[in-house]
Amino acid sequence: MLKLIARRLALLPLILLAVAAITFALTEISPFDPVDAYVGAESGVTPERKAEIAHARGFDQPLHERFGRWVANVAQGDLGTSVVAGGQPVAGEIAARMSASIALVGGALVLVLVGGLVFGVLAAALRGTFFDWLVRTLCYFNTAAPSFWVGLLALYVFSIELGWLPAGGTSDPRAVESGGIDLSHLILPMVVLAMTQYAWFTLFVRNTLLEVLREDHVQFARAQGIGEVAVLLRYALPNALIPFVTLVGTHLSELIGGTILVEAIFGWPGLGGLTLDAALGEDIPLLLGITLCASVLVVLGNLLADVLYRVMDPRVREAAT
Amino acid sequence: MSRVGVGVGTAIVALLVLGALGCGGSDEEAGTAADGTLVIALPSQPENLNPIADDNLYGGNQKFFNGLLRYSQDLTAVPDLARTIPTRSADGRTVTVKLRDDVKFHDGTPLTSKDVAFTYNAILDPDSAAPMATPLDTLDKVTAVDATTMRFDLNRADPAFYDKLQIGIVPAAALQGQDIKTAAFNRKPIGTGPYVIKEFQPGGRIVMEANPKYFRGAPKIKRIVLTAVEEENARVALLEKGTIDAAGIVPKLAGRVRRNGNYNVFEVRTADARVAALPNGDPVLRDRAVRRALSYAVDRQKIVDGALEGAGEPAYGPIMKGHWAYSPAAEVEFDPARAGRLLDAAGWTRRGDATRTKGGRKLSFTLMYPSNDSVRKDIALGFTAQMKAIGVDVNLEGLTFDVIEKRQDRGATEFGYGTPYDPDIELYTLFHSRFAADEDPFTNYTRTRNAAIDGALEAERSTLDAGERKQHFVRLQEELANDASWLWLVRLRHISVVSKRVKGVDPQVEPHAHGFSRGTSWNLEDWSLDPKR
Amino acid sequence: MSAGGALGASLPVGGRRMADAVRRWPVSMQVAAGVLAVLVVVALLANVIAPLDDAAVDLDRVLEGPSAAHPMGTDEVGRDLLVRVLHGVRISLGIAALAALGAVAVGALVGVLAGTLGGRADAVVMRVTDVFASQNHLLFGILLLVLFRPALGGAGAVMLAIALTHWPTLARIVRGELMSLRERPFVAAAVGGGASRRRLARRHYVPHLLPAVGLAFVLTVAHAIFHESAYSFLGLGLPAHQASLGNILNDGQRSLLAGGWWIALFPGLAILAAAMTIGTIAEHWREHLHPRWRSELEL
Repeated sequence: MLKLIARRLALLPLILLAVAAITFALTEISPFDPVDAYVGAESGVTPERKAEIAHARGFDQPLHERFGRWVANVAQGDLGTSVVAGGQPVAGEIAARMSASIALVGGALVLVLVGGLVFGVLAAALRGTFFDWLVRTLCYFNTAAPSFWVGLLALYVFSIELGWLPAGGTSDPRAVESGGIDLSHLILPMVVLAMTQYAWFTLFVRNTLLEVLREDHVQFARAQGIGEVAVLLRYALPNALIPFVTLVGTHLSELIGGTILVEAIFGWPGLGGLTLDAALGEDIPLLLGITLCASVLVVLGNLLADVLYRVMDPRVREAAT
Repeated sequence: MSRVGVGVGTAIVALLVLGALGCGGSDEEAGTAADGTLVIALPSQPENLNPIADDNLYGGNQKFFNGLLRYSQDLTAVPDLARTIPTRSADGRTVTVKLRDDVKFHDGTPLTSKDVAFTYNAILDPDSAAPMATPLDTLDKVTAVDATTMRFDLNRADPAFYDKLQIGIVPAAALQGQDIKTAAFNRKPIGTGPYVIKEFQPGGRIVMEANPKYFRGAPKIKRIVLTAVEEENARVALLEKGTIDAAGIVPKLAGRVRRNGNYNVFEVRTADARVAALPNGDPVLRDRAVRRALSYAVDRQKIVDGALEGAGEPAYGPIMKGHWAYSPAAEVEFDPARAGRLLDAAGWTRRGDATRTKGGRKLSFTLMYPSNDSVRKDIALGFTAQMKAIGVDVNLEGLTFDVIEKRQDRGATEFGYGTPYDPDIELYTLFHSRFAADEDPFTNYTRTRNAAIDGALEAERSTLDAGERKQHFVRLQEELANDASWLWLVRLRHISVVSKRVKGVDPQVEPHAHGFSRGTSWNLEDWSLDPKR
Repeated sequence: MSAGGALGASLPVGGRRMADAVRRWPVSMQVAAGVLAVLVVVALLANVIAPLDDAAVDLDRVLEGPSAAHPMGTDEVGRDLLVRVLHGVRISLGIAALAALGAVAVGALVGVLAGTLGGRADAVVMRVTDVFASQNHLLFGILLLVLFRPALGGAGAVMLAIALTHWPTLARIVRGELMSLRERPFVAAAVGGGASRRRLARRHYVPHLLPAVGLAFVLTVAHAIFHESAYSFLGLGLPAHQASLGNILNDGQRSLLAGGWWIALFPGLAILAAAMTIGTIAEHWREHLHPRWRSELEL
């Protein structure tokens, strides 16, 4: 197990290097002008002045030198400075806004896991009934409905019209203490974000359960007279849980991307909103920094899922010892 | 065992969530602070609070700073850090300013002439790429004559120079030797202003506290929170709930807030106009007769009513009605029939409802607008429809400014311009022919080379006499109307909503630029909260 | 007689066979296919039914609710929303289809390369594919949009962003199919019979690859619709005055509180309809395909 973790972590820098190389190459191919981004669009700086700035900042050096310098900087934690953040370091900006996103993604993940399990099990137990049909239809609806549309409607109905929940932000702006996230402010964005992914989990649990329920050992348990509920929970469910965990690995990346839309609608000061600000401000250093961080999170998420899978599956554990 | 696995996994995630939640302030506790706290919602968080980085002269984020001069409610220049109005030499090329000696920065250090010199030199320094270096091009040298006396040596007698003395002054000690573009100061400013920065939460809120040692007396409102709320509807919802006290809102939502009854809704006049710049090089628009005809075909009031929900007024020129330099020379009546006749006379004829043609060529041009601005989009759409009615085909393109830059000669662009202050600063670079050949789209976009316009501009900036300047400005506006390269459409009005428990609000006319310390909140330090509400 | 039967009886022989096949589909599939057919027809004929004029502004009729004259109401500059949504379907479906084609082209190319080259080259290509696949679609797409929108324009950049984020799935499918095909008995038989590589490719590989690629194409279109509307909604996609479903939703966001709920509702319903119908059809198609493959394996 430790060998697995060590091996994966050793691969991480290579993956990041590959991501960096690809994004750097794309930046080169595109007609994007880093000097323009540095001085700002409306500054009225003369062309001679721009050439001077380009030289001072090393924008006119050959490609491999620039890439080498950039990689060296990144290795030391220097991701450049951000235009939209008033010239502040990209790394600092990302760090400052990360906790808000973690809270949002973490909360959504809990909802997705719990909701997926509960509704998946119920749908499998009540298969063929109206409830099962309702759950499945809502799932299809959820995968097809654009998340930002659902978020807008949710904001309108629950916050603006009914006034049950706050209309965005992480906390009451009047609050004396700084930082912190109010649970009441977290609910709506968390639920909307969870709705983008929960369908996959619910359907997966349901379908896997139905498959497992057809298997021999389950039939055997039934034949012994064990009640349907116990069969479901003690014989079928554990087998479905193992692959369920690996789903987290694949869908974590989707959740992270989903924050871009959800944070935009609810004014949530996390990395998703930062991405949008960076895009609208054409702040490439910031976008590159966020891309790298997201890659790290995805790799770590996949690793966590694989570790959990191995922890949970007795067959794999036996084989390893 | 698998249940343990699930349990472990859930616990890890739950811990992460709880960790990030921290100790958020509860709403009940907020109640006790509510009396002394004013919460303002801005459409976006200011990125850089350093006045050297500002893109306009009038102090976008100036509640942390003061300039040498400032504007009063009716836009008269009055002393701020200066003890009195500055004095000019006889030839107007030297301006002397005497500073107050009782001003301290937020960190307790006294303000001296060294700080003023540092601020202006930092702007002029090519390494800082400061946008304000352009209007400061009349400044040759700034000297600290003694601890409280500044001397500004100009390369010409600049009648608009007092406007350039409004720039916020920074402490030299805090920024000496640092890279202005990346200094931590940009988010943790130290100034002389009525408010001190307490907290800057990236993407979230900015908390300011009253400066008890402010040289004009401590502000009455002790704590101000600026929170960024991009979503228009959310801003109104927060107002309705009482979560925030003040915000700028879009005109469409003003009715809803008015019905609420807890707010004063101010319709603030601004100099901020939307204008279509018609390039002289365009094959269709190079004909002055065509450009002049278009103005009659724009139903400006309808654009105001439809696209701005009535929050605006027609615009006919770069200077707004009510300004000391205004001339009604360019005002025209909405008369599409007349536009049609003028176009016919210029050879552009139409059959029925089709686009006009002349010698096989269609009367058609491209209009570009910045794609992320919905108000400009709506105005552009209204304009396009009205042009269609007289047989002019406008091809709309929504782009970003860096693309528009490269297409300067290939189409018209919808700009936003307008200053209620000294017109010279904005108009010279907009209209003078010496900027016609450069590649900067923000100077003389239309590449107009008109001797009469040049003459009027040169004249208004070479005299210090207000009466003479007004005459030259009047002549300028007449020549601009004749030339018709700039098709002015509408002037916006900003809707500011402030809770009725706030006293002292008296909005000032606003310019085009951004920031939270002009217009409605220009006198934020004089506001107070009514304890009874 | 059911509707399908009535239809079938009135068609010539080929049409009757098709109608019989349709009648055997499950109900959900019939409904989905019907709705999708309507959407596609609308998309293809939108310019004929009601030509789009982005500037058909009527500043006297701003933000009017649904009525007889305007079944979906008017937007914030008085344009009829029904016309804009119809064209939104056309524009969004069109861009989604082209983008998906791009993804298929790139993915198929890479997949064929990896599948035929094998060995080291295959490993390298697949590792590169993995790196691309690990990137979140929205985030990577936004980076591409910012970099390439000035050069390619809104629509072009959106298509590029979607193509470059979705090709890895197609590459894997093509490579996987190709590799399993090479092991099949009928291929060995063809090679033994002296078939050239081109003949192999044309008569054996392509017909077997097409269904899988076709299915993947259809699923990618569903994704692409969502992505295009998301990018436009954020203000990073098509120019704001054009009638993409995402742009209309963006306008709708601003009009929500002023009471213009219809501008937010209808384009979302259109996206939902397109995505749900395509998804349903793809699901059934996938289930339908598998039985055939199973019989192949028994060869």
